[in-house]
Amino acid sequence: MTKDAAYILFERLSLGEDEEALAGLHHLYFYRLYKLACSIVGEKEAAEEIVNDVFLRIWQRRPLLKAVVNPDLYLLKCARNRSLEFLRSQRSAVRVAEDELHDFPVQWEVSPEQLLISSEMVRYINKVIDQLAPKCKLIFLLVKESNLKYKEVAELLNISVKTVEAQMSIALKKIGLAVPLTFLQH
Amino acid sequence: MVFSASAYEMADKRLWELLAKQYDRQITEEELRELQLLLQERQDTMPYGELLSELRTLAFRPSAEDMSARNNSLSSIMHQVRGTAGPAEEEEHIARRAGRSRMFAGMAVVLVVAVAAGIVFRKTGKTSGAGAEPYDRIVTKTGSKTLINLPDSSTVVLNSACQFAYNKDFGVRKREMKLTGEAYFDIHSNPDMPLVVHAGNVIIRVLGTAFNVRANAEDSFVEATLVRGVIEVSLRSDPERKILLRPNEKIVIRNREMMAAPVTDSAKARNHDEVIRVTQVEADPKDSSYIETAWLKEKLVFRKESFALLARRMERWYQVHIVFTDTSQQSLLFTGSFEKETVGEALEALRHSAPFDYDINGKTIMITRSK
Repeated sequence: MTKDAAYILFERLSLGEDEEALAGLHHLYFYRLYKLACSIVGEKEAAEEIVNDVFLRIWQRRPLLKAVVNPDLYLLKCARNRSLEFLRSQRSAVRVAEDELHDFPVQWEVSPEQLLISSEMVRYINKVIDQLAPKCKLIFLLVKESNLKYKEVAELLNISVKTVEAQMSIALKKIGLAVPLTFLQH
Repeated sequence: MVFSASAYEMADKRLWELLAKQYDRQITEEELRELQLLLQERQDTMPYGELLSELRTLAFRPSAEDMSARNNSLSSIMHQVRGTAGPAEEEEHIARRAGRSRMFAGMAVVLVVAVAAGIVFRKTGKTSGAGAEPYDRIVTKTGSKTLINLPDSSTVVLNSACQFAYNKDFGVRKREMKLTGEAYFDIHSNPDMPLVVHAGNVIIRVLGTAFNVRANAEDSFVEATLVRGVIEVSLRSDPERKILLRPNEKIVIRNREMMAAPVTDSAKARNHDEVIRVTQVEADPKDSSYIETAWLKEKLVFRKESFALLARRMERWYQVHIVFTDTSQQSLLFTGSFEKETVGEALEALRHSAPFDYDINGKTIMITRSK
């Protein structure tokens, strides 16, 4: 759903100076790019500037956007690259090492179509997710919010698919085990 | 025993591995069979698979801090983009603050977010006349929200189509604001300098608090909902009468200047004598949010609201113009919420709960009696 919208907005941007399309993309992607940048650079202010920079570059290069196959991955990679550039400018020689990811807060809420997950459970799930290791949390967020395949997440974070799978299984297990607990209380 | 425990652990590890693969929709048929077998072997009755697939529908919830980061970011981007792409679309006086960026040193950030405007701002009411006093004025367009960071670290989020002003030396000598429209205030506490909001015929005095004010020129009332702290509400016409509002309370005051307006909220129209009414509001137990502040999260929420009023809100929300050809439709009451629906889907949904017809012609929508 988001993907289709992003394609359309990319196309609109590639056709001209469409500020509305840029604002639309910002609306769709800000939080994801921001959280990714936060987790790489560990500073909110810098992360915000990085995201601004991503959108400004998109604007400057808008004629090229038509060729983008996967807008989600494209934008996330831009944010990753800007974040790494920022780190490099701060200190010398940085590699994307997983353990260098910083923690960041993230919360979820129920949507109306949910049948099994009550708001009580969501509170519990939020607690569990918040306690995940930063890498695990980021992977969960990327998979959940961006509809990225594990393969794409692996590519983005420069880790193996196996690692993504293992981290997702940790996240799912913790959530899956937390949920029955809240079930039993009812 | 030791052996069986570790066998269980291995099976458990494998189960979650397979569930993770399934979550990625990259599971092979063989793995799927293995997963089903493992699930059967487990003695509990938890529908793990279903639960996990429901996880997909959990929606990301931005914190207030996230939202303010987003608003800042959008303003900054739009400002820079306009700097390179032609004349700015800013209206009137625009508040600016110094750039705080390392990456874009020296850049000024514009706080007015002006994303595409469908129709021209409808100025139907007069703003309180404070004459020559120097005020910074901000006008938001239809369909955009604006976050304002004030010098005293208070924040105000303006809903679309707002007129907002605050005194130029805000926080130095006094803190005064004027509002036509809807806004959410998070006010930094300063006992020495109370903040005063003028909204229609209503004056709200604040010490330090968070509250929502709805004072649209075309609505017949002013509404304030208190989330945190204490506010004191009085009428311009009767400044001696002060009403203290506590958290979870909402005050609705009929806007005398607008009393002659034909469109009134039907619930209140029945009580002509009731000028001021204080009611309890309830936070949604799901996420402790208020219906009154749902617009902050980009939701249009309404509870037993007259069609007349709802239509005004839909006009701002969808940047359309709604015309009733028959006044009898205006008193229909609706309860519900819109989030991602298009205006057509929204109208279609409303039509399912009450009889009316509509006709969309570009940005103008005609509401008619159902045939």
